[in-house]
Amino acid sequence: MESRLRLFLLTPLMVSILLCSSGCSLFRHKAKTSNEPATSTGPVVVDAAASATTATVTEPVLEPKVERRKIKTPKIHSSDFEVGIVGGILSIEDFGSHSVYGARLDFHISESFFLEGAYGLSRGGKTTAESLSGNIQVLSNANRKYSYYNLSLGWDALPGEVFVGENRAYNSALYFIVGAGGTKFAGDNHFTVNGGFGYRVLVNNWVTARIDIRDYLYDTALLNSPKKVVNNLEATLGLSFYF
Amino acid sequence: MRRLCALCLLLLSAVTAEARSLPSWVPFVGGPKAHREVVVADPYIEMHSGPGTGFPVFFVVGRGDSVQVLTRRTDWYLVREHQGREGWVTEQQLARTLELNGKQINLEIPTLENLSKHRFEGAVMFGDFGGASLTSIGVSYGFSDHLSMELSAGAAPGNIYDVDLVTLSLTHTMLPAKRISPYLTLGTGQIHTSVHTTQAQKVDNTNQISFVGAGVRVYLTRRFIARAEYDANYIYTKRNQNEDAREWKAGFAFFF
Repeated sequence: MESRLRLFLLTPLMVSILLCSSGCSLFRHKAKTSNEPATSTGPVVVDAAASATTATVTEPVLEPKVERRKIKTPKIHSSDFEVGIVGGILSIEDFGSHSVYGARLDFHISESFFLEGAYGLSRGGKTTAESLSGNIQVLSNANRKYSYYNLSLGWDALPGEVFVGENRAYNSALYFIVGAGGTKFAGDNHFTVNGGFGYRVLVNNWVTARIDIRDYLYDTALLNSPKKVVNNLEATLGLSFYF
Repeated sequence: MRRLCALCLLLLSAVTAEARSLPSWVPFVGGPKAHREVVVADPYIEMHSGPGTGFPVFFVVGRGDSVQVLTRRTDWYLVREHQGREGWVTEQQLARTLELNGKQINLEIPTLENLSKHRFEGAVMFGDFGGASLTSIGVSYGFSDHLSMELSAGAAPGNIYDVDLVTLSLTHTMLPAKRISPYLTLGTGQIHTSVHTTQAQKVDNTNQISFVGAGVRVYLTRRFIARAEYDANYIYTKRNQNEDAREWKAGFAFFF
């Protein structure tokens, strides 16, 4: 009884294994034929010996291991920025003329226009009243420190060349500049408008020597005196580099 | 005065320098560099003595000859021909040269169409902050065509208060592909206020500030954009009541 039951269970299992194995071989054959080229329509007779000979002929003696190099095209760098230092004389209204030094950062937007950020430091001297009286002190020493910053738009109005001797020519430009910023003097901050002109000579394509004449205007009411507009004239020489 | 003399000496030494090629001591530009080489495809390209229309043509490079492109300044390219002469070539002429593989050079000329490819943008603006004259600069980085982040610093010396502020903001540009594009901005930062010494009471405070604003960008030409913005600022003071300040500013933006 037990053996009959075992036979009953094993028969469908065997049948299913047989069917499965035949099915798999059928699919494999299909997969093989699908890899064959589309042109071979008829039955293909494979000669095992011939195929082995062909394989030995086509197989290269040395496997070339050539790694393809990626060629990177060098980037074209820009040199629109110009950074520089300046030094010169600043006339502070009522407080005499004194040395001034500072830094400039320019961004050349086009061949004719540029934006400039500037920062400068100086120191105010004694007023006429202080010099004559001897005892009066209008400002403390700490409050005589003078600093300014501004953002300006420049226009290279007259580009040209400077000729030195017969064989040397340097590029140059006369430019006008106008902008706004702030001035810190006598312990106060003043909104300041500036304007002026400058002359730039390019020593080579990267180094520039420049002369600047600038006027700074702001309102002030020193020691509660009536408010007045102050004109501070500045003349500087500078050296800057393009990068 | 000694400083001035030293500076003058430095200037004189620079003026007498005869170096025509790249000096190795100049930061960022010195040292050996690989330069892009292109082949002239037009009948010739003209080498100007300076990066400007008015500078004279002093040499021409004929078709088939190659030149090295050393740098770009605004719309001009400094090139070196095979005999070592260096001159400036217009963007229009260089754009018609070929790479060594025969393909036409791609100079990525800034136009309204490829504006979004330039991620970094600078801005210089002037205006008014709560009655004080404002000067501000900013640098922004674009995450996408629409969204950018801007770091801005401004100073507004006023009749009563001086204001210095640094802010970080997110900006949403609505129509980045259009010549005129409105934008919205939302930001926060620090504000420092101090009263003039000529006033009786001295106030010197640093507070947090946040703002919401709207503006418009007008693409002018190449890398040049006009920009105007209005912001409503909220200053979180240590007192019971916060303050608000209106701000407007206008100026130029440029991408690099």
